[in-house]
Amino acid sequence: MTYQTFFKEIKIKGYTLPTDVKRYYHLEEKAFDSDYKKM
Amino acid sequence: MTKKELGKLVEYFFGKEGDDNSNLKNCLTNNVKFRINGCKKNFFNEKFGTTISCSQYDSVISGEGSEDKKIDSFYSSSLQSLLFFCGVSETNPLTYENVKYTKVYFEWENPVIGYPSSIDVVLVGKKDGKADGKTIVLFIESKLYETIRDSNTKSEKKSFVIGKSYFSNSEKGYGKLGLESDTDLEEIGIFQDRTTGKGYVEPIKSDAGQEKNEFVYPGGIKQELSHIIGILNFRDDPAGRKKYNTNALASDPLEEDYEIRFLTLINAMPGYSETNAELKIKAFYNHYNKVIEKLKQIAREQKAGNV
Repeated sequence: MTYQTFFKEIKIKGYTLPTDVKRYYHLEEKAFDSDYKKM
Repeated sequence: MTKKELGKLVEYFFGKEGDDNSNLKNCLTNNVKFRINGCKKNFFNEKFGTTISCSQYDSVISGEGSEDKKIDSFYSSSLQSLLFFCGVSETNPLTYENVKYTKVYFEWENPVIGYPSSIDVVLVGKKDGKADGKTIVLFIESKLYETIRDSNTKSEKKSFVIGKSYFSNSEKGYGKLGLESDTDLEEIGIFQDRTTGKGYVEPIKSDAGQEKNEFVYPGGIKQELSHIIGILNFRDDPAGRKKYNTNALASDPLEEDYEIRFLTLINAMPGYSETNAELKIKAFYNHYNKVIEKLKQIAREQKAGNV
């Protein structure tokens, strides 16, 4: 699983991650979600 | 690269979301490091707005692989997992697949053969978030840049070596996983040289019959198999947990019906512009998926045989 997909799921449930960590690791780039679900 | 240039890169890298990230490639391939004065833990806390504790930081740098020397690099996957998971606590639980995780441990070491396998993160939580719910122990392997580094892919393909002690049908080595024949191993791309007894990882064909993908990260496949052997040892030898670990989990007896899970997280790194980066990530994913499917098949056969 990718960090991007994992983060998308857990943030809905409330785990708080600092904004700079999200930005640094590209965890809010929506464009890649659909591509990597196909893997 | 001068210090001044490095500073520009660092500032650029922390730019607004949606910025062109072409400098990411330079940061990673040139092993660009953070400029750190004083305590690294404090630097990361200040820079990322996190609260990494001393014990968490010490755990990460105490693992195998000299993480203390790598953690100030852009490509450190240990730093990625530390920053991502350091906030897990009773007041900031991480809920995934109906399990509420409230405890986190870093660089957990399970005995395998020779050196232990160091798993980046272990989360401990309760199913459905209930105090009397089943305890779930989730092992997480974290990947940032490893799957796409050239030195980890095609150039290493033939040279990556697996010690001959792994090729054993006993409770040690691949026999622990039920991988007992050459056919079993070759299905997942593991081959043994009969002359030396040592092994290596080769790319395998996809289900769609496509040509072998040369971009597989062989060291990663070997590492994942070692992690799974180590996790089985965690299950089978509770006393052995203290051999390499000193934190609370090492002494926690856990209740009888606790459950173990294993997850590998790969950063897809949108914005990384290297040619074939996506192919490399997918090649690793597809190969690893074959490994997991094979182990699931063995588990089903073992279960059927025990009925």
